[in-house]
Amino acid sequence: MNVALGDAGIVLALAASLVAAATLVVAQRKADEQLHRTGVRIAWVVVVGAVLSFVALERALITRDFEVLFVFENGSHRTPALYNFATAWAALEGSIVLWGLVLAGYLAVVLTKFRHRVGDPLVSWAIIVMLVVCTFFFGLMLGPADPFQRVTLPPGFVDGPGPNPLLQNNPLMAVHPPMLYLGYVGFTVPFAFALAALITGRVGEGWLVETRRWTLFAWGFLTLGIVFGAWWSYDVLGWGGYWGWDPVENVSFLPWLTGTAYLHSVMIQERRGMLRVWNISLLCATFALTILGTFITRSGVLESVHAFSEGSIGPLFLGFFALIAAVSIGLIGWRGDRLRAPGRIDSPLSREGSFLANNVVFAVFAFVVLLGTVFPLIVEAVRDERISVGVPYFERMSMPVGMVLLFLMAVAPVLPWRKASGELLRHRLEWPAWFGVGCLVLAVMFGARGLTPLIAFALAGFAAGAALRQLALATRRNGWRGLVGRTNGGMIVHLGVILVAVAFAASNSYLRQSEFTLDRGESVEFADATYRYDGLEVESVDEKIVTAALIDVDGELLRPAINQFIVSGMTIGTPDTLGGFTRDVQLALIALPTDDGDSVVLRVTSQPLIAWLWVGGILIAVGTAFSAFPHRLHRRPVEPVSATPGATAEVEARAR
Amino acid sequence: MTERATDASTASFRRQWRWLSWVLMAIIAGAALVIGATGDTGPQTDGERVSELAATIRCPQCRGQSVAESNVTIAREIRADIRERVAAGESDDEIRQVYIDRFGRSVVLTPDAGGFTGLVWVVPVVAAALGLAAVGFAFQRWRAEAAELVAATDEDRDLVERLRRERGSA
Amino acid sequence: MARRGALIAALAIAVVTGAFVVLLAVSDSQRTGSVSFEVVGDVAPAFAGNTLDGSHYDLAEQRGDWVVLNFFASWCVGCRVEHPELVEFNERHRETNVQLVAVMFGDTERAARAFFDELGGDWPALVEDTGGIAIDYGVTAVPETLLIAPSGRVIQKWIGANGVTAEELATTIVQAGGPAGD
Repeated sequence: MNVALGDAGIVLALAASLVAAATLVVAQRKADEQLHRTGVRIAWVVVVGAVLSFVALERALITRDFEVLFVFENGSHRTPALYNFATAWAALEGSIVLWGLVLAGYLAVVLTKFRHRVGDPLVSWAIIVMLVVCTFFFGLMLGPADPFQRVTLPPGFVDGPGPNPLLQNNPLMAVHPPMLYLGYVGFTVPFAFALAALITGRVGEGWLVETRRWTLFAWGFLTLGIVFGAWWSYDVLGWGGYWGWDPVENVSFLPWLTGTAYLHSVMIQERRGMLRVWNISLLCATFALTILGTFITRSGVLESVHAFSEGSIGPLFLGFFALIAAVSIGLIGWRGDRLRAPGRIDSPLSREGSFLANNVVFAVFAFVVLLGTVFPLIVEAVRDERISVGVPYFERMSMPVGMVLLFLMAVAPVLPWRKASGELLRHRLEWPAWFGVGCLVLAVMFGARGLTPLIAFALAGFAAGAALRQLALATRRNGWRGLVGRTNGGMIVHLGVILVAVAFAASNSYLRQSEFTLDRGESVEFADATYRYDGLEVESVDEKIVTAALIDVDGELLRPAINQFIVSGMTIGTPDTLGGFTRDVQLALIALPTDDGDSVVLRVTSQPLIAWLWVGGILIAVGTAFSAFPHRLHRRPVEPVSATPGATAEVEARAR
Repeated sequence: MTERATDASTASFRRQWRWLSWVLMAIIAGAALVIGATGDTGPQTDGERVSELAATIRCPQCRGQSVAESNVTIAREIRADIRERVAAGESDDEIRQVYIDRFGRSVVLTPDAGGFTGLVWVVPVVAAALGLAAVGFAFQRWRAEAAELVAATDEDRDLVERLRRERGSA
Repeated sequence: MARRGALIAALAIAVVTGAFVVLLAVSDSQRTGSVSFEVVGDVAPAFAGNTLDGSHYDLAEQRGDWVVLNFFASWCVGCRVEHPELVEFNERHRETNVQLVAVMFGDTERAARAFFDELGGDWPALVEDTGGIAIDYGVTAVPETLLIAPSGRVIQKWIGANGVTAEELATTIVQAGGPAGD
């Protein structure tokens, strides 16, 4: 029943996307309004099919229907309810079903929001592009990534293996992947509109305004997804790590970088019609990078602790990536002359100039991360040697880039449009600069040492000062409305990013970590705290045996533990953390204590300012939400300053 | 008259204060940085040194994790080995070389700075320089275009005259 | 003119992206541990240390004999499967110049002793500095067995979930010119 339901959903969605796309293309050709509406109705069937397939998958998991292949491979009676629901995306096939669902969700919203404008070629082509993407994903589900194959249960079958124990350890499993997907898949919409604009040649501002909020939404969720991923890593791994510059993490960071650059650069296009080639390229690159990221995560080309199981799905994603890249580059090259704006940026010392510099810096950052990630492949292909490019490389490379970005964050918001004088800059930057110096002095007073982190703190203070200045001015003028709207919400986001950057710099520079072997009752002093081993606690919980060591840390009791999963035999450690506003101490058991727990091997990690990471993440989310707040009611004009030639005549003709 | 004089004097005072403010800022920041740069920031105990070293060596059996991050047996053995070597007084480079000899260059997470692998260090710097150069060229070109546009030609003036006459008469 | 420029730029980017895609396509996705070390063919790294029964073992003293070096651990399922094979092999070659020696891997002396008490075997088992020996031989997982010829060179290595069988060991030794067992 579940197999039938699921297969039906997939086939329905696939067929509907093909038919709807074809219908819309024909409707365009013939300029047939009625056919357009039919196409849209068929597109809705895609949504129905996607929901059906997801519901079927969850139903199979919840009812433990082991005759469905996915449940046979990943389900179990012993998995607790929440994790069982999350098992849907714990393995490859199910995660594609989730992708399909989110994609269909975005399609549904697009179809609803633009239902009155389906006749418009721009909207129509955007929907067609989205349907083509749907076709790819549902096609995958029908072929190599089919979770709904029927399985004959072997004799004596009792229970399935359940999902990987690493994915049952923490409730964030239910949160992190869906958020990431809301982000990744969300970029499909602005990408679709970008392609539509290129195809129809209408590369003016209309599509921009439509899709800015979509991009912000997707970007916000991608950021949240990444932050939750970091939180999950931190809670689970045991060495105080939250970002490992692992290939899978890096490829989720790449679309974030290009997406951030786009969100800034698009403001220039709105105001002055410039940087259009940049914006379209960034948008297409963001979407292409999400597909590339999915390829790298699922193909096993690069080794990663996060990698899914491999299969034949890798080459298909690579092919899709190549297709997207080819189509985007081709269209941009074809329409290149139309994209070129007639204006120019007057001075590097202006808002436009700083945003152009911003684009370049983000592009370089993305390039460096991508280079470092795939470099082992290049070396292997060219020299047949095996090398590793790991954390030390990325840290050393990202540090100067991060500093430049902090500086830009400080200076750009105070720069006026078109041109700035040194006098103006000095006037506006004075208080932020004092704030930066204040932060630097404070840091030194608190004992921070080391030129690099101190410069980072100073720049962070500088940037925070600029953001706070903007917010102060805005609230003074408009009251609480000074906190919402694009600029002010953006400043709150900046504050969040600054907090994250400071936390990153501090926790990496001042990390103290060491291993100790402690006998029962023995204590050791390390990093301004005393740790005493009090004894072991062993208990049996659900499907695992939990062995916890009781460690007294300056009066607080922590319980780092090791979980042994009975059926699979895997042992997974669970660290325990003493969190604080200024410092986090994390304890982890290295190995299962032998000889009755007379002694344990303990890893102690002490890092400052970890809490600022999560606070910064919350601020980014809040700022993004505030940023989407409508500041003024926008009409939908063709802005004369950036319209394509002849557009004004069009408007006048229509008005007559 | 007196108002303008006081305005002028406050304006010049403000300007002086502003310059003074920036100079003061620079002095304080410089002092703080000098104090900050002279502190000791390296690993303070042997155990920390082991952890730091371990973070740069890749676990041979794992998928990309360092020996500090992984808890599989070989990772623990290597950490124990590092601990012994640190206690024996070997330097960081010597210890890393031991593992390179055993497991190959890919066991170290920092890519080589020389040879073909060194490209991974060089190319980003080159890319950044090229990016900056491109932006610089773009600004130069724009400035040149702006300079061209500034001068009004006689044709422009004639056109404006003609239009004025037409509009005036209409 | 601008159109030409756009096309050239697009072409350049397309070429670079195409090369990138080709690189990803041809990259070997079948990598197991990407760090590899081949001790086979090299002179066996020297080691010495105390064994389970308290005596001292030195590999250098075994030069001239065939040495079967077995890495094991009490928590390793494959090692338990392999151990009876080693017991049998040891019996059959007791009268020859084929020596068996074990090195524990990531284990405690007590657990290793319990392992041998339960499954038998009377060949020397090193319990001292075992991590260093494993690193010297590039051993990353157990069970792993190496064959060292009388010349002192490592000539064969067996890895695999269930370890080596007595048959494989015996055949390889005979093929390499060594003695057959009983």
